[in-house]
Amino acid sequence: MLTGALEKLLCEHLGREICLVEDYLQSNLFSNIGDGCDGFSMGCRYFLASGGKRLRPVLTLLSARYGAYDEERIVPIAAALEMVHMASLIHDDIIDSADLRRGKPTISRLEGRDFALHLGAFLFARALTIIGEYRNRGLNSMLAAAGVQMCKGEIGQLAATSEFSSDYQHYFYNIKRKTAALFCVSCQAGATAAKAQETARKALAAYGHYAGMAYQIADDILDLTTDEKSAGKPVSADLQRGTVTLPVIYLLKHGKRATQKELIAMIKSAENGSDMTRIKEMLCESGAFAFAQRIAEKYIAKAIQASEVLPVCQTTHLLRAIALAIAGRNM
Amino acid sequence: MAYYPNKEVDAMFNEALRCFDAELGYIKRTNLVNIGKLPPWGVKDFGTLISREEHLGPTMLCLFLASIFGVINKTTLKLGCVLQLLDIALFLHRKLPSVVSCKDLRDEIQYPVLLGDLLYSKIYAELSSEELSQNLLQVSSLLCDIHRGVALTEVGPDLIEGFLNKAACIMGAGSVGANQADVAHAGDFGYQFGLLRFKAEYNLDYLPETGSGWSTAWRTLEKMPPAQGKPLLGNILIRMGAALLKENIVTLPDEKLC
Repeated sequence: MLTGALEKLLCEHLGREICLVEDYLQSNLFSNIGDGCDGFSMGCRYFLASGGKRLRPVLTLLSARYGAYDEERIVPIAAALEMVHMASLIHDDIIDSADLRRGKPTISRLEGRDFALHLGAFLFARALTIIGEYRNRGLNSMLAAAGVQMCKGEIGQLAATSEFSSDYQHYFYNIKRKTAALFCVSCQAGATAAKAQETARKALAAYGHYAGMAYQIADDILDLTTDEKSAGKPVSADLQRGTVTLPVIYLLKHGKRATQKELIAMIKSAENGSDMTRIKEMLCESGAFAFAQRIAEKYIAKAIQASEVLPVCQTTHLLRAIALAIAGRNM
Repeated sequence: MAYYPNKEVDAMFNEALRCFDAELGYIKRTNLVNIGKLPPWGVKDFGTLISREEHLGPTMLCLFLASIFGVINKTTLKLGCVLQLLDIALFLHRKLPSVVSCKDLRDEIQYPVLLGDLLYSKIYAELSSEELSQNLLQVSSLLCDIHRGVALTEVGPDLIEGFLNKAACIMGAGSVGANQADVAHAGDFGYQFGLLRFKAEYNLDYLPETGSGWSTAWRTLEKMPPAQGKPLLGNILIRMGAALLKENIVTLPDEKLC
């Protein structure tokens, strides 16, 4: 499911395991819940078929290689983490009233909000059931804590939207919770399940955190710079619902006063589809995108630095390649 | 379908809640503290939901069953906290409006989805603790069944009440060390009790299966050991039966259940 330059590398070194995760998702979401032909299975199938980078399972699989790697044991955990991610995307689409995801109509658009709500909640519960079967309290706590963090991040973002105010501190607080927490847990879960040494576990958790922070910043830049076709989802969606992300915060703090006033007025009317092109121009001219990109790169540097305590091997090389790809979102 | 609560049944449950005033007060306070500060949003504000007695039904059953099979302990109270959060999360996630204005989007869609998700995560976090971990799979499987069932319109609000009350009784009996057979009986009782409660509370029509469900609940209650809370539960069952038949049933003497 990964695309671009990194795909070849990961396929070469992790291709079989990624396929196993995919198979596990397919079998677990369809065969265990009836004849596979009901509306629910179709919803799961539709969502699975719409793609995704499967980045979180990849991180889990790679992290497990620093311990006693056991494919049968690690694949379900990797799949469970993808289920949590899928659940969060489905619920995000309800919250954002989004019509498109990965270039296709969202589940909530196709089947209605209620169906999507229950599908998301089912996926989260299913993931917890899979992890619960390991009878490892550490794993259970990790996943539950990531869920709490993700929700608190989203709630924090929603609260900031209603006040139409945000600053760097709030922004980083929210992205740490809504995105970096699951990256961090994806790495931690792999390392914990494989009983990796404490040093490796800590390094992988730090790597996941920093990579997750960079990933969200890069995503926020993409939301403002790309077109709908390339993104596969509505663009500038954050601004249109009043969510200010890093480039916008930069401009609101460091832009010329006149530009700041113009930007605020435009964002306030953004939900009516006001001049997004002009907003993008202002952000570009002020250096806001370059600033956000630099911050993302700093996080990537920290992720790579965290990986320095890990053994020099193909797996560490792959983790670094993923981090670099995140910064450029050239995946 | 719209449901209109039967005020008499409602009042009866509120009266039963008084038996556990201290425990329920502790549970509500603990949940408020554990969830932490949240932005206040309309009527679905977490503080408002926590204070409502309508979300304490499963918690109350858990306490009743624990008191029948033993003595309420710390684990029972922690499970009581989980059950209140579960009832609120299911309430928030039960139904979203299909059409909503931009103005109401936050209160009607965004907040219920996010708060429900947060509560589920908190529930799982609680159930990951050493003391409660044996209940985790039961709750996650229960939620899988409920959400899949509701999405496919196979599970209605009556079954949700049945499933939830079953889990509550199992947790209550299990928390005080009841043996496997007793825990299973407690589960059977809870399931029927939940179905009956929903039917009585919302004045649904009396059907033959309602009668057999009532009998099952009564028989399983009879098999439970004598305890102070047992006659009260029996009385609730009788009054629910009366509400369902829409006629008065003479209250059976408490001794019958003691």
